Amino acid sequence: MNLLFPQPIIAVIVPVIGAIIIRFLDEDNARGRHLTALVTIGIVFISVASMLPAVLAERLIDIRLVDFIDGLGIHFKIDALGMVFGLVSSSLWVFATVYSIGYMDHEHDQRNYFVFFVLSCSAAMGVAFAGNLFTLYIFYEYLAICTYPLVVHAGTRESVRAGIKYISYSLAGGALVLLSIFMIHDLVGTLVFTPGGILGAAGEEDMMLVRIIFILLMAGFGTKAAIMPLHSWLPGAMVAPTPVSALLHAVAIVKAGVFGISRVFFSLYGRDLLVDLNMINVLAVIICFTILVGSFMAIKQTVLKLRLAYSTIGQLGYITLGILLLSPAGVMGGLIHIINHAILKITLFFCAGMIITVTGKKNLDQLNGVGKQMPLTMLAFSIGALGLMGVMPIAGYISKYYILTGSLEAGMPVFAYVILGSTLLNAIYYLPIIVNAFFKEGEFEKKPGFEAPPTMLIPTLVLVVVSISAGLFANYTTIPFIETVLRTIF
Amino acid sequence: MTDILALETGNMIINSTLPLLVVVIPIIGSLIIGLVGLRSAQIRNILAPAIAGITLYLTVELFLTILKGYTIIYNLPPLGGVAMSFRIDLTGSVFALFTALIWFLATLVSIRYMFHEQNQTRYYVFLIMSLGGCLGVFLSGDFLTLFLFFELMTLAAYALVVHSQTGEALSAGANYLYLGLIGGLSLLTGIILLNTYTGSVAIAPMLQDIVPLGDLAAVIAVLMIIGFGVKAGMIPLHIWLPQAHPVAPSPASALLSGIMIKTGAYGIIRVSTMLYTPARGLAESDIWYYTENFGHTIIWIGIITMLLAALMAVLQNNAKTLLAYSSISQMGYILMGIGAAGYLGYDGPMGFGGFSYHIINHAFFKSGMFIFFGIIYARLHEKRLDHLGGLWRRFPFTFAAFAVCAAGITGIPGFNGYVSKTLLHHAIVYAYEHHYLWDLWLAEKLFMLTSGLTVCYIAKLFISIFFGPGSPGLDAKLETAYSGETWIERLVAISFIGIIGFLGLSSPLMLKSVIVPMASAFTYSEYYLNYLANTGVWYLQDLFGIVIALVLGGVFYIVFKRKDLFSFEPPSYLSVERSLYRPAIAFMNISFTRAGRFIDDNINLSYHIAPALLGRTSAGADHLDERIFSSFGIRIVRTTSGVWDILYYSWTSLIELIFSRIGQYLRIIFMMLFKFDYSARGDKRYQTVNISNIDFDLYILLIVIGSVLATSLLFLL
Repeated sequence: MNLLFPQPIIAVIVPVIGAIIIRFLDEDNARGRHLTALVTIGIVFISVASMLPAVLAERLIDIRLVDFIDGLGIHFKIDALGMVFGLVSSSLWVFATVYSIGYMDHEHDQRNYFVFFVLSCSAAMGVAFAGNLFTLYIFYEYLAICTYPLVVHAGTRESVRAGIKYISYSLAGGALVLLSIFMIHDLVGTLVFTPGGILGAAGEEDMMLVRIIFILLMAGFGTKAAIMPLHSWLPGAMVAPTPVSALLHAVAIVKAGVFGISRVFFSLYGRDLLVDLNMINVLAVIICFTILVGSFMAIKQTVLKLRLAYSTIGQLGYITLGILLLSPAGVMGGLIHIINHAILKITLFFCAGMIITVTGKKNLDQLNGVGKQMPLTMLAFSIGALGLMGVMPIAGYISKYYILTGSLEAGMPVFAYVILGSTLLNAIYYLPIIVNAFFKEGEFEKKPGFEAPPTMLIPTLVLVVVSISAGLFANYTTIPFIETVLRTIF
Repeated sequence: MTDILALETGNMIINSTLPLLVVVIPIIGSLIIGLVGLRSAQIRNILAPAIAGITLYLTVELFLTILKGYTIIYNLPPLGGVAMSFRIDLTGSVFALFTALIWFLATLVSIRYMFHEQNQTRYYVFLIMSLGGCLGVFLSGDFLTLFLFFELMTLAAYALVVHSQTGEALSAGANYLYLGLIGGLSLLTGIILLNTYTGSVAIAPMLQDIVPLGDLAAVIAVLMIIGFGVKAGMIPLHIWLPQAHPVAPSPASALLSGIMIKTGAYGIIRVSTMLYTPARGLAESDIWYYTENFGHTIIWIGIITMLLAALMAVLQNNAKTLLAYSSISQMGYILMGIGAAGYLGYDGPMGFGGFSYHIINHAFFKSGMFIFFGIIYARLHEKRLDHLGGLWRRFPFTFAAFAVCAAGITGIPGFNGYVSKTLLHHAIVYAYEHHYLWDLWLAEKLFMLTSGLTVCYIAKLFISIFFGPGSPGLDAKLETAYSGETWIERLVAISFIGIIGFLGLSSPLMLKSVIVPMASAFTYSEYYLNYLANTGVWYLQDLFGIVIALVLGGVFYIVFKRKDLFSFEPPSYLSVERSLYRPAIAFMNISFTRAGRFIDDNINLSYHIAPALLGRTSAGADHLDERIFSSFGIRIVRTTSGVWDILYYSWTSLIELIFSRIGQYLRIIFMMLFKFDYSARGDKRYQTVNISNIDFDLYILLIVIGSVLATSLLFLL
């Protein structure tokens, strides 16, 4: 046990304590509940952020908590890759908590909501700082189970059905990961994440087995990363309250899948072995299919949140595509897109949530002229959407640029065409929303006072500022950060 | 001004922040206009022309500095992997100059035109912002910077296109936006490919680096030409243009048609006559063949564009649509000039002189026509030609200026269009004489035919607006809504007359001191540059050429008028939009979404079927176990021993009892696991399943799953 760095343990334990406190507070004690949630998430964020200097100085921190048998145990390890996911999710969790306070104000059963909301943070932190595949798996399942009550929070028939779909997809994916855990342990005797990979130790004769494990892991983590045949839970899970779907679709769950894939790539397999496997191209074709079909499906959607959900499928495709290009620029782009997409997509969901709370309108055709009533909200929405399309100087263009150069660097210009083509599709499904909100006549009128509750509006506007500055000052923020990750890979 | 900002770094190259200022002032200024517009409309109306004026002043400074023979460069520090740079030679600064000048005039006219319109602040914000984008295109030092400003302009001008917010405007705007984005992406792809394979995106002659790429060189060329061609209204990418230009407010249409369309032409010039030419050191080499083939293609694109668009223009009844088609047709002239310049290769200055002169001329007469028609439209709100008529008395200054513009576009000697059309005609004739190809001979004839059609549609427009009887309602409108031209509008009209007259009459001066220095930045031979500088236009055969065009135009006009062909409507299947684009989009959309839904449904189905399938399998195993194996076993046991018989019966009944119980419990647990019969609302569901509260249940489940997993791991490994 490394007592110098208790932060990952704090980040995992504190939310559990916070959740228990909230559970035993009174249902009517909203003030105490909000305070506890904020303090808890704040502590998590601070403890994660305090590890940043050590990570940037490239010190690897390893904490062995429990060892069941050799190699199987709860290990935490802080490296740059985990820090990407940890920092993104803990910081955005703070925003989502503030936003939740506003959003849940008139909802039923708030105590339950906050218990599980805080509890899932612990699971996400566990995923981020897991030091071996077994720990990653435990927290991965923990995350799925903790978020289930959030998905079905509305309690309607539709939400229960979506929840069952969500949990069965997640558990099925988890089962595949568990199966591969046994196989890997059997094959190489360890599960610890090591830069450069551990499966390289497997002999030439076990190559077939290594391939099978790869397929299992891709299917397992791919379920959460919404790779095309396994994406169906994601649009369904839209029935959750908006802050939850924002976290689900922008930050925690889908990114846990993508993060799992990058762990598999860079900490289990390693670059050379992946090239030897000859399976990257197949996966890349599936991803391209995912990107295109996801984008086309998004165009067809008539409900705002559904459109955002399908757009997530396409955007996750970019991340995976960037990672599996295995060229420095591609991986750089993929990892930066984890950050950029998280910031931009959560902004979009926050805007959608505000529109739903203030006007009660969910369908796109009801939103004509909403820019008149909620100008700031729609401004934030426009900036988020333009950022995802890749307009300078909002964050998204950097990652797209790197993935593009990455695909050319890897000698596969086809992927560059796919990305550019899907950028056009992005424009086709985002621009009409903006255009209709500002230029079409609707039944909306300007009202005095705040256009939305300040607890919802302020986090959104702060995120807009963040997304623009992440684009403008990328040379000093995201790019050096990701370069630290790249140094461990290449 | 330049002295303060400049830092001379070498011979004839100045490092100066002036270009940055020229671009940033309108962009920042537009935001200031937006903020001021919230408070006061008056200050905003003064501020908008003031910002355009300051920009104009800076552009003049820039132009004068460069006219002395300097080149201005400025590099911005890299921003997130993208380094922006400015590099201005004479071509860029001439484009910037007429852009800023016409923008300033159009902003002045806007004040009266927009007087009764809604959302004025938005209009001014995006008007000035697109000025920044447009100037940025002309001042960029590399293709990536150019692309960024190109996109800024596209997006900012969208707000101008949809300004009226009618259904027609929105659908035109959608076409504008999507085609603009397709063009932008295609351009970006080209630029990225160029960057990857040659390592440079500078705007400079690079043919020697591009030719070794083989097929990719052609791909890059096609992608970039498509990217710029969308903006330039090249057939068949023009479909947005006749829809989008007419629906914008008239001053904005003037800028869209007069200036922004030129960004496309500018890009094609930079690609075909600059990027795809060899550097000066290799000027005598034989890789010119690539430029030649490239140019040959563009000549024909230009010819087709000018002819078809002129035909369409003749058939229009809406004045602004007619002008929009006329713009496409004139862009065809320019494209043909660019093609001829490329085709002639090292000997191409005549083509260059033709298209650059024509670009300047078209900017003035076309934006003039839109602006002056706008003056009329602001009072009468009538665009249909058959409803207009007899207005020359009411709008004398407008009439005079419109007449001068019309004379310019038809190429009547003494006005500016005559000079550039003559140069373009020289260029196509030289192109024919270069290799004596029959198709270029045909091209020259089609050029003359188009000139005739131009005369015809301009005559139709001019005569039906200013002469003849108007519709009966028009007179009544004139009585009530008539208010005379304002002094600003008269001033603008006079300045247009002055500029067009100057460009038409002082062609030797223009050629010697502006056009030839512009061309000398490109790879051209000295001999032909001198030849261009001394080309005169007042020769008998040139005048004869224009007489042919005028006579042809007159004959066309009379024939069309007599046979009543002006109102002929071409069938819809001839439109590229209906016959090609829409079916293609529909096909792609349907095929992809069908595939997506198919996968969705099947995967879902398999997830639902899997538990049922499991149940069936276990029932089958049950059957096997109970009926077949047990009876088989019993028979064996019976035959061996009676004692065993009794023992066996008691034993099997015990086992059966235990297993049936365990099976029951397992089934219940399994169902609970997958059902997750949890309801946050807490109603009846709790009673049907015999567990009281799911919060604690979930904790228990977590612990149970965890312990089961942990223990099973211990057993397994």
